[in-house]
Amino acid sequence: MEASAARAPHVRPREAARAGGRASTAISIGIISTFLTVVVVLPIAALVWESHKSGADAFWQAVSNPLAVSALKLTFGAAFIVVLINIVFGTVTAWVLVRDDFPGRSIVNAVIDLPFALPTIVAGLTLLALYGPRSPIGIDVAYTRTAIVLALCFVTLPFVVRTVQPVLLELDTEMEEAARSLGARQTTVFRRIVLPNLLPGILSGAVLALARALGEIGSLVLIAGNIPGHTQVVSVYVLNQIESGDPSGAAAVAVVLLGASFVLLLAVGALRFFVTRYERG
Amino acid sequence: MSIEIRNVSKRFGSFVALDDVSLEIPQGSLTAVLGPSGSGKSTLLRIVAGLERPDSGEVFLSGEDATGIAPQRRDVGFVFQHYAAFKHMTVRDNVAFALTIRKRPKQEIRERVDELLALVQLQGFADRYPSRLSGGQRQRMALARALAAKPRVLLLDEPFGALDARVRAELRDWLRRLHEEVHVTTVFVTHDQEEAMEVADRVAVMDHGRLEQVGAPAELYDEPASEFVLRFVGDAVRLGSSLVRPHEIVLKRWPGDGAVEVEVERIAVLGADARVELVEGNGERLMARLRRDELEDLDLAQGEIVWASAEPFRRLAGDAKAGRPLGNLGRDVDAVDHGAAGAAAAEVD
Amino acid sequence: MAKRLGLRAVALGYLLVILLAPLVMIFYRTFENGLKPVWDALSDPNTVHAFKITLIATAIAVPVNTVFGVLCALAIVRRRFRGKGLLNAFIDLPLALSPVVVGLALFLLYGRTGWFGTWFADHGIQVLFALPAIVLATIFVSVPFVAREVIPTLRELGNEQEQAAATLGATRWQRFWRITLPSIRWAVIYGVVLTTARCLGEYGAVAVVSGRVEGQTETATLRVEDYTLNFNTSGAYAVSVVLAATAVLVLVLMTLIKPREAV
Repeated sequence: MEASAARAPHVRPREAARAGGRASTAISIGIISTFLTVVVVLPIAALVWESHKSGADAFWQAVSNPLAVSALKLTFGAAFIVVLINIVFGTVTAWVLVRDDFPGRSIVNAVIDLPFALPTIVAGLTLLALYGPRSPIGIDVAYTRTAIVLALCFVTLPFVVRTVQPVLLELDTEMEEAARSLGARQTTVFRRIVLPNLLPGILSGAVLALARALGEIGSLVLIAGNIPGHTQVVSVYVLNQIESGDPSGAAAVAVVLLGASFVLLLAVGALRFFVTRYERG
Repeated sequence: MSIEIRNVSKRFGSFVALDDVSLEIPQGSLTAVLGPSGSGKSTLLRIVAGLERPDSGEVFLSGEDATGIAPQRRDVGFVFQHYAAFKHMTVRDNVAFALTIRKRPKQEIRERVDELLALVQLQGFADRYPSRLSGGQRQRMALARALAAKPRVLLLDEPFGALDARVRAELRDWLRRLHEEVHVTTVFVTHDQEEAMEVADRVAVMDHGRLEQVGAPAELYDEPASEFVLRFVGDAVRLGSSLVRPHEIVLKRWPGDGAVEVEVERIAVLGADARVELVEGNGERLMARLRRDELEDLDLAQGEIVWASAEPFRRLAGDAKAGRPLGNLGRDVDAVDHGAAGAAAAEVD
Repeated sequence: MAKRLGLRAVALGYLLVILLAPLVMIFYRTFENGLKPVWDALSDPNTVHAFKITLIATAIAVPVNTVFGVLCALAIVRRRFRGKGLLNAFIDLPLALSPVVVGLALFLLYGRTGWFGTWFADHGIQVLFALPAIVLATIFVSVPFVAREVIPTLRELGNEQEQAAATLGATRWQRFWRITLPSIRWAVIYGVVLTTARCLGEYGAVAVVSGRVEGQTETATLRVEDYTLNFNTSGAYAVSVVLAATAVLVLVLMTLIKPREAV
């Protein structure tokens, strides 16, 4: 086989094939990027731009006015409480769903996803009906901060449960058995063996719940009363500002919310990284 | 279809998978590519199939340069270690796939699938899904699937690696008989030297991306071209300063010329054979393989001192000295020493 | 043993208070005064129109996000390129953002004085306070779901089946159509169900961009708010019960499909 004749033709097919593969990747990425830019990136950019449009002073003013500050404090405060509640109850629920067995368990398991399926405004309406002025059980917490926590608990309920369940399912019960054979009591086993292994799952769920709680609006508009300075969360405040013709002020506060959320999420992410350091050896 | 691999090299990042490998595989042969993990054997197979592209070198199929051609146009059948079954299709649809996408008439497909299922003995399983088949059945299905479009080459990547010992033994047998029936050029990759020796006409031994030796199984066993091949293809133990096969070791109750003094540590009876674990004065351990009658003649017991020497497995007139001196092996096989006739003892260099 | 029952009681009690009671409440309160008020509300032309708007927005957003989601998942799992992490983050972004913030961002872009708004205004196309803005908002908030469901499934599948198909002679398109898509179909369907639920239930972003004009730019969720703020509780419940019923349907579908998603 003549070397020169053999070489020339085959170089092109091989390179052409490689180039073909790269071209289709480029096209996919192109389509995806365009879509994402139009739908996600540009809106965010516009937001950040608008918040700074009138300069740093205007930004600061919009953010530091007492109503905005109160809304921010309320939102973060409520979100923290709700995340803590979720960590406890979510883990317990996941535990019961995985380790326990009772009639109707599968129905209960399915119902966990209700907050994902139900429109938030409907959720708010029914919470109002149940725990508001015409409550059949006599509990009226409408237009109070308790209502906010209640509504947020509803919408964030599935997150921790759903992130902890798979971890529990995969958890090697042999570890627990080994601990017990070495003399550990049930609570010790839970504290020293199970919980550390559940922590990454719990933290993942907590992050999702936090993000959701900070941005929630639909379930709050009806039941919280949105009393400025008292039960008005950031999302409602921003909505108000837009409707009163101050989009820049609204954008400023929105950016602060975004920034703070971002920092929080990073912090929890770092915590999760730290907690799973043993997995990386 | 014959295969010629010419000077193929491939790296993955800084890892050299193949280093200037050249190999010829004649039409209709059943060749095994044998080597430990990381030796590059799977990479080589995948390059022949077109699933990987070499960094340099060429692959010729039936004399034509196929290096740049996509796998779907190479007319090769490929069987994966973990079957790669189309989980969402029935066995029938799996096997029919190659013909379905070539838009063959339904009747033709039906007949061919039935023929193949009979060949692999999965006739009753046509309408099952792969998840309801055992590992061995899935692999037979994968084989039938690969053969459906009558490929000119059949490539198998550790086809029995994921199966348990008994199924593996059955399928090995079965592959051999299939090859005798179908006669397509077949190359299979394995790390199991017994499998390679038992099934293949020719074995290519690879290590660390290089081709160590190619030849018939007996050739590899009797005339290893390197220490690696000696150790990898069949067992080798160190006796004194040379390497010998365990069954070439002869134990006597009196010292002889060049014999090594050893203590019997343990005797394991393995049916028709026995394995005797010995330890030299300097603490070196070695193992001898004896027949039962030999063992009984010696009447050995644990803790006894005996003398070990090596005898050639076969006595070639005037030829072949048993054992290979360590470190004295080159790539060509001319290291065979034409030593003492009817040698009964090793000559330790 | 007591501990087990105790835990069970705590979990079930919590779920009852937070989840089940409200769900039962909707159905109870709606039909409390009989069927007539429900029927009146649902047959009100403005309400019918609101459902129509919601359905149109959903009917556009779901296919768009499904195609995008599958393409994205394929690119992220199967290809190598720089910026993959960034792409992943951007896909998840809509989940982390408040819908009102989304609405604000769209408002800034497509409002009459917005970045693109002027172009659209010059061409006589109204985006904000009209259907296009509602559709855009709905698309934005439901972007992640299909991608997030398909990505792990694709990862677990690996691409050995496609390799096998290639050796059997299948072209790229044949591999995609006959092997890749069927293998991920349940993940896609599950993602579609989640996307649909999200689209139907969207409130915050459309509250900002739609203008809330009765009979023109109200969605079903905005209609509930409208009825409530006008003290028409039976109207509010009527629309809610329809939405809740679809939510229950979604739940049923999710429960049926989830096990099949397992590869």
